[in-house]
Amino acid sequence: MTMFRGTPPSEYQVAIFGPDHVDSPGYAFRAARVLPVEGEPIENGVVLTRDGRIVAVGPAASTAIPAGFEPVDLGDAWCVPGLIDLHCHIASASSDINDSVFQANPEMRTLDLVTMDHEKLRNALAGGVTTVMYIPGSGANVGGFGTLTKTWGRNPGEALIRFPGCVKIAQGNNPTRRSGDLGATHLGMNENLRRALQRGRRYHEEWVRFERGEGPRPEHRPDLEYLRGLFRYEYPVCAHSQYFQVSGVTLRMLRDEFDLWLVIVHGTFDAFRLAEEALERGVPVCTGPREYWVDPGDGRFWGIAESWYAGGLLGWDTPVRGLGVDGIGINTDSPVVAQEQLTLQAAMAVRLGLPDGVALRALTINPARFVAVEHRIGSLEIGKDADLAFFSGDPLDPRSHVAMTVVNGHIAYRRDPRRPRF
Amino acid sequence: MNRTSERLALRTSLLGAVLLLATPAAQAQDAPLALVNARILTMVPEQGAIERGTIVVRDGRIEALGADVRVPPGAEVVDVAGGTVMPGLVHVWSKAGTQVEQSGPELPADLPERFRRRFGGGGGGGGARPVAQAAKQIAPSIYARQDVFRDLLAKGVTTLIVRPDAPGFPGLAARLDPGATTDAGLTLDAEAYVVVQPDTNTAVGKVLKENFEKAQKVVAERKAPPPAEPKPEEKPAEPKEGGEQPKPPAEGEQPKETPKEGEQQPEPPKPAEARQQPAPKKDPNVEVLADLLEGKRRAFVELSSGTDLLHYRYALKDLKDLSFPMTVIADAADPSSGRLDEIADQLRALNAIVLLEPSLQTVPFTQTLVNVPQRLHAAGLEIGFVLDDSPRQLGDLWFELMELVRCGLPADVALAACTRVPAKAAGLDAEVGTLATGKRADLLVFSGDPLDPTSRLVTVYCAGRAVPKDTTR
Amino acid sequence: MKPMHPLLTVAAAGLAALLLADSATSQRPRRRPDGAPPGAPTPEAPPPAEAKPEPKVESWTAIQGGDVYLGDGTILRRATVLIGDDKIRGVGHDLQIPEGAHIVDATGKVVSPGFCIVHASGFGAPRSGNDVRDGLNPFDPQIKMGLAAGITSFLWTSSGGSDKPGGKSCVVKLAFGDLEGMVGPEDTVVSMRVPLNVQQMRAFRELVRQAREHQQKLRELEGKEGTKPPKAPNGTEELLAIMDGRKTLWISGQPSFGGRFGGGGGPSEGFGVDQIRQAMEIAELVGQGVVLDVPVAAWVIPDEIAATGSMVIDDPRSRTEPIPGREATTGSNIAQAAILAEVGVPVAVTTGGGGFGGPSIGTGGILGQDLNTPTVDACYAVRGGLPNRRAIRTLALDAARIMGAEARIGSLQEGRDADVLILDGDPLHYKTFVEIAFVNGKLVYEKDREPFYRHVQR
Repeated sequence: MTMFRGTPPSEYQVAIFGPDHVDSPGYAFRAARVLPVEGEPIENGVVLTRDGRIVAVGPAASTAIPAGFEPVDLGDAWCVPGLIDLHCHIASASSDINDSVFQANPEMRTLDLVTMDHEKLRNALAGGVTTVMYIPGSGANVGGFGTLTKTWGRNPGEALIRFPGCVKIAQGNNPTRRSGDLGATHLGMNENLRRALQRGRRYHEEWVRFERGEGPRPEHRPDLEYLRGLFRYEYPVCAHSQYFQVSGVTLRMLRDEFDLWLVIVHGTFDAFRLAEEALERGVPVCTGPREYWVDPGDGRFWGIAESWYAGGLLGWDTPVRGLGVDGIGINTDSPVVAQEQLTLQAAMAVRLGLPDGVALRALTINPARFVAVEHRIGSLEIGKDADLAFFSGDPLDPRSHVAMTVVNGHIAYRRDPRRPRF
Repeated sequence: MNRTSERLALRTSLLGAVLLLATPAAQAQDAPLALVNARILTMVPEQGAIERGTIVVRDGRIEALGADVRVPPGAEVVDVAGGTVMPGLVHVWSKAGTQVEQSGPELPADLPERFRRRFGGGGGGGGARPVAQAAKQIAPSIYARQDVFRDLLAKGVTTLIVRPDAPGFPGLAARLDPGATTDAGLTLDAEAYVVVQPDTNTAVGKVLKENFEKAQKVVAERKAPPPAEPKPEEKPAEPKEGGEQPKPPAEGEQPKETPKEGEQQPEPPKPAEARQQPAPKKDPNVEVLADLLEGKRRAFVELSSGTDLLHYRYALKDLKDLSFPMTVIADAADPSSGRLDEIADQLRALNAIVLLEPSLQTVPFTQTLVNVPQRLHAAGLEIGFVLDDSPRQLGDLWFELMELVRCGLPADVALAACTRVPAKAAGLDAEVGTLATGKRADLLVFSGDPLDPTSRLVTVYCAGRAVPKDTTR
Repeated sequence: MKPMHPLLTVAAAGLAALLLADSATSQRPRRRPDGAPPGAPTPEAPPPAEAKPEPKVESWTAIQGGDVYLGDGTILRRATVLIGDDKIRGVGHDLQIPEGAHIVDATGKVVSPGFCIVHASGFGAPRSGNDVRDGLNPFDPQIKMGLAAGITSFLWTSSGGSDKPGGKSCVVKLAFGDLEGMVGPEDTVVSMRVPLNVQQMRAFRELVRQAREHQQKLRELEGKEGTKPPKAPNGTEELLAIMDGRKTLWISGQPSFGGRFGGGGGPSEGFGVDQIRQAMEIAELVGQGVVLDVPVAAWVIPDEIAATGSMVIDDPRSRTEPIPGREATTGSNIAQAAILAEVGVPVAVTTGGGGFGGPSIGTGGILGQDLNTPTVDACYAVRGGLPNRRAIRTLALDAARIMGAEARIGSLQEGRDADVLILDGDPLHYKTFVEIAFVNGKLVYEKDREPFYRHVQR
């Protein structure tokens, strides 16, 4: 698919980035099989890393290991890029992520909550997950801004990739107001969301006029500042949107009306029938934490990821086009599905029809591209971040365990066979 | 004009009834009635519609019908104007009038029992405690002139049988005259059939088994009386006469006898001779079941699903050669407990008419609709419908039939399922359920085909008399 | 490249049984506290196929050509499973196929025993009650869904004991449309919980003493004609059944928090070492192995558990974080099943209860975390180090033992119930689907005829 990411900004004004790279020792990881994702599988391969980056990838036979690189032999293991989850709530020791007094909270952010070195992130590492989009909950239409962070770092600053990673917009039933406020139904929720975005767009436009010298300098509005970055295409909307009707609104409002860079995440129910509509609008989709939809019409277990990917009849009379190899990602919504079970979600997607190769992309390069960090993560290529996961076999098979996880060139997890974390 | 005369006629007969007390209304008969220019659906098997026919009614019965029947002199002629005439609805599985109506100040007489039913525990299935009172008549507990009877009649129910309701053997159903104006005239047959209500729990199963077992013993004793006793019991004095079908009454509307007066004690009527010698005490409830096993009575057995049938068979699996005249009642379909069409073979083995709800069902987990009546019909079963007790819902019956017909059920099967088949199931087929000479003149006159959504039910004739239009609601 | 399914790629030329070192019968050491050999009929070893009257069989089915997983970890390549009526009449390579037998070609497929689930509810069984038949619904569509997942039986439980054994149980079989076929062995399992406080433990010992006394009296009366056996002392009936090996005692511990929601855990040890040791004490007292129902830290003391002949239900994915500073003896361990199996303790897997992914089946769960794919939990036991081939036992033979029903279910052997699956691959592979399921010898599920997965073709 051709993804819509807007016209990338010449310079970032709102988003901040973590370090470009971190210091790390030289390692030469050898594995029985290396799956670079972009590029052919390499039997008996090595990956050289230093200073947080991949220095070389190739067959062990033909890749020289320079001096200063410590060999780490992973035996029969398979090496894949560190896995990426764009919809999760676990990069904090706290579970305090739903502040839903207001329907739209564009001033909120998860950045301040991120902590490293706690059980949830350790479990993520034990599952081979090296990058997560840590987002607020779905209790409000605009829950706040998510943080794109590695799952390991000596401090949150070192782990940070980008803030905001995205804005979390939730539709569907979760953000429904509990009392009689505006937003007790989809009517009010849509209205509220629209108004919040309009405020952000006007603020953005004031800045554009100012920058062109056509207007006064706007008053700095912290509550709208992050929305401004959204309209500058510095980061996308990650929309929690899963039903057919709801996702239809998501696509029309966020893409057609506000022309935003949009990623649908948590695509769990029957929204897959909109595959062609999403394709036409350049909107990719992450599915999970459910990977099936039981059709109330005929009782079949639709594979959700497969349906988004391949399109087809999807219950309609005329076939629709699917998102294709590049358009599909997989997420856990951890802790709903434990973060360490991200690969299981992919396995279940494959069980119901998603091709294996697509599933691996859906865990790595695809989500990286959805949020425009594919130059950093998502595949094993020279110059990219040294984020690696070593599985004892087929990474999708729940029987395979993670032997080692590397983040930014550091060995962040090593399995103790007598007391494995996972 | 016609309307007023109808009213008048009714009022006179009403007056007569009040004066004569126990005498049924149809006694003093007026001039013969002739419906002319009618499309007649006789519901007689293999007989198609009679176009532009005439029906002559005298003394509450059909005297003649056909395309070339002459209108007798002096007859009141009603021109149906091409409308359709079919038999009245035969509603044989009803609870109408058996429950105290919600409105009104009276407290339910059976309050403690109802409480127990609602809140009493019990096994996984059901809840109410099983009973073994096969001989208990429901008739004495019903009174005449309830709104519901009048409303049902106005919707076309000309034959009504009400039944007791409890797991196990709740008792004997009663055939009522829905138009009756006195309690005495209400019951046409206090022992229409034996009700058997199995359930999916073992407690009910145990009651079924034990009582059928006892009944089998009684039957054996009847066949070979114990030698010690000299001729203890003579058959002739059984509550029901003779062996065969429960009587088509020899004469018109007359209930055989005006149902027993002194009905205070719940004890069912005993054979007259039973008290004479101090023979071993007989349990009337078991006697009734023994009659059933001997084919002298019929039973309506409530089996709404495959699971119901399995539990029923499981409960009785140790009883050898258990068979009796049986109608299957499936009035609470649950597609998640096995649709009847999934067990059509097993149903066929029961050799019973199946009365089920006139509606489509949904395959679990899907929205796929299944026409269970059609499938059972196609599987060779004789099917009829259980009708609604709520007059309002009963009005939807015709739309439900249209839906079933649209989905493949033959129209004549659908209509027979509300008339001929339930009449046969209740042993009333000699009298009602079809239109033929000598049958009771229970007629529904429609402005067009009953299964055409634009048709209206114009007039209901019950035993030859036009039922007044429902004016209250 | 490391082959994904080494077992399947093994050349099957000789077609001989590949026997594991730890095959079914050499398993499970049983040491009695008194050192005496087990007196009760130990149910683990299937009775040898000795000469017995030829069963009169109405209908035969021969499933031919598949790789047959016996359920104990053994695989017979391209073998035949012969079903006569509701039982398995033979498994092997040179079986005489009776004339008129219905032949099912399973070439290229896997044949396995139906999966036995130790914790489950639903499938047409009532929620509670004294008799599983009350309200039992053999047409519950959930049964078909369970069969699609390979489940052919599960242990139905109703209530349970607290400080002494109690509760009703029944092995419910997913015999769609067959009421009596659904009711398997009844009351094979009773349960209680630990910890018992000092007073409760004293009362329990006293009960055991009375039961032993009663057993002694019975032994003295043995062979004496005309004497009426004494009535068992009040409250010892279940104990006597356990001590005689007629019932299996399940012991659960104090629940811990945490579970699968990304860890968290709490300060509680849950069903930790202390509680397990008390359960072992109970096992010693009754002279029989018990079943530890989802212990947290059984991995710490595997030998102690093995010594009593006890068995374990494991939930490999549920997580209880260790108490800080006591990492070596507290907290859960995904390697628990592997560690226990290594010392010969039979292990069944279960999927965690509570919240998402409780032990149920349906259309509302999260695939991979519920009984729609019960094999996933066995997979996680493998992830923790349990040998792949042995892992089938966690859903077959060992699970059946834990349910006290291995004489009927859990393995493909002559005389067992004909609960047989035909699968399109390795039973534990995530792509594998059940194509056909037999329960009690009746064909009850065909993938191509049910709506759930027939559209998934590969």
